[in-house]
Amino acid sequence: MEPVILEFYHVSGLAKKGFVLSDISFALPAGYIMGLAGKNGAGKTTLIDYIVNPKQRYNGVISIQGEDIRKDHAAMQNKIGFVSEKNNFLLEHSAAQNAKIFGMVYRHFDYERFLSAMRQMELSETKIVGKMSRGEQMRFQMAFAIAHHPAVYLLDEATAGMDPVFRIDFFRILQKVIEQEEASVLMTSHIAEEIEQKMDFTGILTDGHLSSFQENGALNTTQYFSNTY
Amino acid sequence: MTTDRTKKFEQKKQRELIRAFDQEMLSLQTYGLPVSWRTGLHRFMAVFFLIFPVQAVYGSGEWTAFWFLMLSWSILAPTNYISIFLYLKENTRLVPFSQKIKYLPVDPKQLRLVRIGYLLQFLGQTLPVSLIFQCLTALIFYQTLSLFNILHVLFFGGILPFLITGASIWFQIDL
Repeated sequence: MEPVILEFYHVSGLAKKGFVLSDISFALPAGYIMGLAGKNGAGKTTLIDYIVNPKQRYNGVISIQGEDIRKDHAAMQNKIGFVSEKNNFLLEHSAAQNAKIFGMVYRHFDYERFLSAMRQMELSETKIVGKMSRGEQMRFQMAFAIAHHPAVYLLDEATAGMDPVFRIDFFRILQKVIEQEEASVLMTSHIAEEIEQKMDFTGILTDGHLSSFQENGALNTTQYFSNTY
Repeated sequence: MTTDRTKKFEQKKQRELIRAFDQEMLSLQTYGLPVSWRTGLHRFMAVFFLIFPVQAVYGSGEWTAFWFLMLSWSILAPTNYISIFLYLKENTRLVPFSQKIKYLPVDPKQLRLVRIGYLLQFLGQTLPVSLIFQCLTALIFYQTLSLFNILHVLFFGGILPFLITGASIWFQIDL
């Protein structure tokens, strides 16, 4: 039985204004990829924000490797590899400079591993981050995340903007990394083919509520997408 | 007991990491003037108006204006100095430092403590210099030195900038 890496236990948002999640519960074991699907505004990015943003207020428990993330949120960030448009790096400096500086604050950042991951992502470490395309920025962030050995990778629309050919390689690299490191991946996606073929589990969010959480194969994602979209 | 000791050790280690991180960030930023020159200029600003002996304006009509000037100046110098640790220059814009490190494993409390530490270091260097010059100019030009000279420097060169700039640091780090 694989250990549970990420768990949501009856998580409901407490914000008085704006969008809140409602009674979300699921457990993601090590070595698996979970997809989060749903319409625009369903709460996919919000769910990820609940994990990475220490200011989020909610009832329930979100835990990584059995530890409540609110206990020491800053230390928990060591266990999270976050890939998103929201992630902020130094735009006027190269990928290598960013990695050297931001890597300093991580417990287990390995610069050689970062360079190796950049090669796999087919990106030069001398490229200026602000001059990268969206897809390249996601790949850079993924290389940075791999370098600090997280327990869980949170990918928010990371593959949008990636060319279809590279996307195949991307998932191959991802699968290899999580198998070697006993990590897990939680990713949001709008791409039906990706959800059907690449995810081990799929959660469907509807208006902040997890309306479905199943192993792929059991869930007819084609029917879901044709009904939803 | 051991857990508390471990926690304190971790917090100390985090502060050391943050200081090293700050040095690397500073080395990448361009401010027009080199950082050491900028810091020197801010120290000069902090000390300059405190050189004038309070006897020069005491009892005169300029007293209110002088106090207002001291109030602004005593906050301006340390605030300008500390701004290089609160904001980054990016594409001609100033971006809050806390925005860049939002998703990093950096404890906001330790980050604030490090910045307060820089402020204390700055004031710790300027305050004694201001005190010496205030006393010297009072003795040279007015042949008198009162407790008021010393309290004036302690308030405008230490207490006030520490409280105002310190509070500003605490609230500007939005993590």
